[in-house]
Amino acid sequence: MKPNPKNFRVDAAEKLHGKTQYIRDEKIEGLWYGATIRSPYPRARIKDIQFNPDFDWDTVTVVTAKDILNNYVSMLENDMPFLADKITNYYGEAIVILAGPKKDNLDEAKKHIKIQFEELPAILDMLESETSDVKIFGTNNLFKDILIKNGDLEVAKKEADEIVHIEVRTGFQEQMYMEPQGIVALPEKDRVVIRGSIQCPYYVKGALDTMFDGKKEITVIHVPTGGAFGGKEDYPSIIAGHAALLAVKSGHPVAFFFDREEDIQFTTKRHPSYHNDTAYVTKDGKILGLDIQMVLDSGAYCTLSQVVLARAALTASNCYYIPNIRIRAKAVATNIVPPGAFRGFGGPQAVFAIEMLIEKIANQLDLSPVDVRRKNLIGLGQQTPTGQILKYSVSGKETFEDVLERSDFEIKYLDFKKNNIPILEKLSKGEYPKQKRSDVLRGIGIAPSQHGAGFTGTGENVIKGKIRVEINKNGQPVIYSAQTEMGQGEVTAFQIILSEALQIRRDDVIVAEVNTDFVPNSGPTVASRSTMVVGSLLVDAANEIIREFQNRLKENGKIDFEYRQGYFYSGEKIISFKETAKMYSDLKVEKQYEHPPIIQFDDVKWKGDAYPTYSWAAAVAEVEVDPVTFEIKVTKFYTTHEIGKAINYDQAVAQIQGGSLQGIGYALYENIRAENGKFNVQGFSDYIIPTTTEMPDFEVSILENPYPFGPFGAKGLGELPLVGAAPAVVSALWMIFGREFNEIPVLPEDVFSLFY
Amino acid sequence: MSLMQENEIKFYCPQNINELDQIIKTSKEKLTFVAGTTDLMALEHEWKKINNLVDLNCVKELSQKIEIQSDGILIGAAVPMSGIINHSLIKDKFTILVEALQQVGSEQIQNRATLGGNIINASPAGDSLPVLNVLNAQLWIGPQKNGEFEKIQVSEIMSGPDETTLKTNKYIAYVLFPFPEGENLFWYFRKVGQREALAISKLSLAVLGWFKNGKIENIRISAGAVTAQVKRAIKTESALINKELNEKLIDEARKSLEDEIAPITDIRSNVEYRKQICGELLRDALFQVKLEN
Ligand SMILES: Cc1cc2nc3c(=O)[nH]c(=O)nc-3n(C[C@H](O)[C@H](O)[C@H](O)COP(=O)(O)OP(=O)(O)OC[C@H]3O[C@@H](n4cnc5c(N)ncnc54)[C@H](O)[C@@H]3O)c2cc1C
Repeated sequence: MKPNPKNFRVDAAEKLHGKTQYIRDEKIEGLWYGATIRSPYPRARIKDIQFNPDFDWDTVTVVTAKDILNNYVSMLENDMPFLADKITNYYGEAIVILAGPKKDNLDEAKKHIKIQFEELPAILDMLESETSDVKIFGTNNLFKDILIKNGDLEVAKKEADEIVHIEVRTGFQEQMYMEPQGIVALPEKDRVVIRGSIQCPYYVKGALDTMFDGKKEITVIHVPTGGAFGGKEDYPSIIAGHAALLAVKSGHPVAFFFDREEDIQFTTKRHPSYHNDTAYVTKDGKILGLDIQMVLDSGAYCTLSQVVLARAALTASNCYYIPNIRIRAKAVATNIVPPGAFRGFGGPQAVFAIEMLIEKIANQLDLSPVDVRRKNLIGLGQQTPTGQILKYSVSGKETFEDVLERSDFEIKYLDFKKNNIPILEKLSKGEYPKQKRSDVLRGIGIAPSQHGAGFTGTGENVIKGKIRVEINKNGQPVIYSAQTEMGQGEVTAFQIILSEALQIRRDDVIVAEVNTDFVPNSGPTVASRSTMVVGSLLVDAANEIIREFQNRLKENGKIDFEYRQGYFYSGEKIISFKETAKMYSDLKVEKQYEHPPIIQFDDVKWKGDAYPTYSWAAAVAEVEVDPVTFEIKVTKFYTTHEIGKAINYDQAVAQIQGGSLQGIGYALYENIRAENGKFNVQGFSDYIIPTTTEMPDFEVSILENPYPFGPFGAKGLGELPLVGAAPAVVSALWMIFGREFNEIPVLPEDVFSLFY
Repeated sequence: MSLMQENEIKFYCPQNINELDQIIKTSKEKLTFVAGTTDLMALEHEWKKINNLVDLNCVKELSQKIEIQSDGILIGAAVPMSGIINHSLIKDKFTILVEALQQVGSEQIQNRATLGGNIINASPAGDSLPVLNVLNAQLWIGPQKNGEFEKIQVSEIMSGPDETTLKTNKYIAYVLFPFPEGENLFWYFRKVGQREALAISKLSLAVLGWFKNGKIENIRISAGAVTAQVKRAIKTESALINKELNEKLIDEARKSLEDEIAPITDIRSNVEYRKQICGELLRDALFQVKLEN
């Protein structure tokens, strides 16, 4: 289907024409540049910082830990300093920051600062963290330890015909947004204004309010952001703090503009994970019980790891109904750059692990991987591991069957197996594997996935997101919210939601710049929550605006007005929304979110509605492996997503394609390792992400099954596409080689080592 | 953010070879030649050392000329690769060259990158180099002496990783590709990268040869990214020349090539893979030849 130009993102044309002004494009009078001196050790004691008097220190401004009132980044645990003081806990941790008008001079200044360290033993392996003598966090290095139980595993053990066990590992993944981190702090008399590439302006404001202990007013302004994927959720708070400190001390606006290398080396990534899972199954593949243990490498400071872990733990059983389950999940500290938020937020790790377990069940019991999945898919009225009973909008089975049918999975599965037999035979004998030039190994794999939409557990009730809609003097509604556009289509979606709820033209809806002085805190732009949660407030606001206009019209004319397709109508009178709005342009409507009372969660016992609802997907990947070089290519990718309601159909398809491709990258290309605590990549030339040439032929289908509390039934979409892509791809490799694949990324070198 | 460095650079834009040679003759300083800039752009630390920049794009002969001569095709060293890729005669007679250049970077890169730049950059992973080797490319080096360019074989210019024998203020003017002597030509090029586009080679292999009376009369083999400097695999070649192609010989050749290369482990791949797959590519090449003959 051809995209409809009506649905094009409102920000697209300017971006395509290169007109959009990103933070680096802004002309800022008297701008100084910031620079950072970082720890060269994974863990060390800072003994002394010396400033060589040969350098003219009047030409730069320097800040160290001593200059900071509250030296911690206000997040979940407040354990991370803006600048390391006595101990540095990871390679690259900031110790000294400096700013000046000339970059050359800054480089020179850096050379004249000598830091004396005493290197300390470090934790570099997540599995050693809990028992290590080195203590990074608390007494046992656990940022969080979660236990979720439902049913009785002993019953499952007794009734099972077979026990299947697997260990699974996933690697770091870098967000690789196009625009690296960029922040400018502008000092004013009693205020600091932050402008930058930011996902969650109120997080930055909160962090700076705390850092200055309320002694400075803080304004945070979101400027056009060239991608984020979670990477600009928590990290900007750190460099906004750095820029603000230097700006206040120097009296100049100060910028931190990371280049790609600095960005990839020192900013947050997806948490690596380790899983040790056991399934108790009947001989026909019904899972009676699951014993899941997972560990997330959470780096040197907590950042968002506790909630990432929660989502990973709560997603551990994916789309399956498991009567007896125990999930033990730990976020452990290591002396590595702290990971943070990344699209999927723990989900991709959890789903990859259980999907590999399913593959192993099929493999060990000689069953079809489709049948094992089908037999265990969860349905309406069944319970999740937290005892949540799914009462509405459940589509795990429907998406699964839809994608199977559309992809001709069963036929291809058999065809491809037949195709592969002679090639594999020759390969295993070390013979030349091909009979004709075009011979390749073909695989087809499948994975269902789900994503809990909105914040985990009670999160929404803590944040209580607030929006405001004001009517301007031209009779146009203006949306004030803290949701940010980072290329995902938020502004366009908000225009669609409000205009449809008000039954007015889309371009008559204005979305205000996100400036914390003017927009209320509607919560962060994360967790696939903007459309579903904040969008629902827009519909509520629209209804109130209509009601309020009806009331006011009635006060004037003493007659009741009905609202029909953008017109207020009463017997002999009809007046458009716009005309009415012009008359009452002082109207302001505020709405605040709270879960409907039927959604309840206990986050001490891990019981209840972990998420208000789930979005569902299933993906089929067709994969080719070159039998000479073992290069792996995804050629076709079918995916069916059920997202309640597609607010912007074309943009939803684009999100699904982009997210899936990112998941394919996670599975096959994106390889980054911390070697003695230091990442082994520098940028686009060695951190390999898929390009258009790696983009498979996509066949996307969207199903709609309304969520009663979302705008027009919409649920979260943004993260889901990434979640199930990697297991679908690796499932195809299990199919080809009939061997266990339990770690991503899978590189040609790994497949090669099966044979050589 | 990378800002332009603040050293002064004198910029030359000679319109033809004579002007170019004149600049070189009168210059007492080191000149930096630049063609597509795709390598120079990435060498930020080098920018400070540049004082005189000579833009070879200005020199029409170097940036535009593709000339068919009786003994081969002469290509300006500063002709963008896409100009070579889209040349119908080259596509026909030197398909292997076109295939290799089509795998350099991306189309955007091919629109700027040049053979001269690829040769002088002298990366062990430079993708034109194995093919230049098996095509026996000849380089014409300027400035001219008595109206003549100095002519050297491509193999003579490589001296190590990122190093060439080209002296200061000399430049590559043209690359001459002689028409291969044999009939019944067979050829093979395969680049293995971390992805299909915009990837530095893990390894690559170029093979060119021909049969006579059922035997391999000549074969040239050159592998990329598996030796410090890209060169011909002479031992493996001689193991094949004058032989009938059969499975046993192919296996011997594969092993010989594995011995002749010295790959390393780096961010892109590892020794085991590079060594084995290089051999596998040769086996692939020779099996394809065998199946088709
Ligand atoms: C994104 C990207 C992807 C790339 N992918 C690949 C790839 O897949 N495979 C590959 O092989 N390379 C690749 N490259 C490297 C580069 O594009 C090639 O090496 C290219 O051939 C260089 O040509 P150029 O004209 O741009 O060189 P320039 O940058 O102009 O010059 C490179 C060097 O050669 C010198 N020089 C240039 N021309 C001459 C001449 N005629 N005589 C003497 N000296 C000269 C210059 O002084 C400079 O030192 C890539 C580069 C980029 C940026």
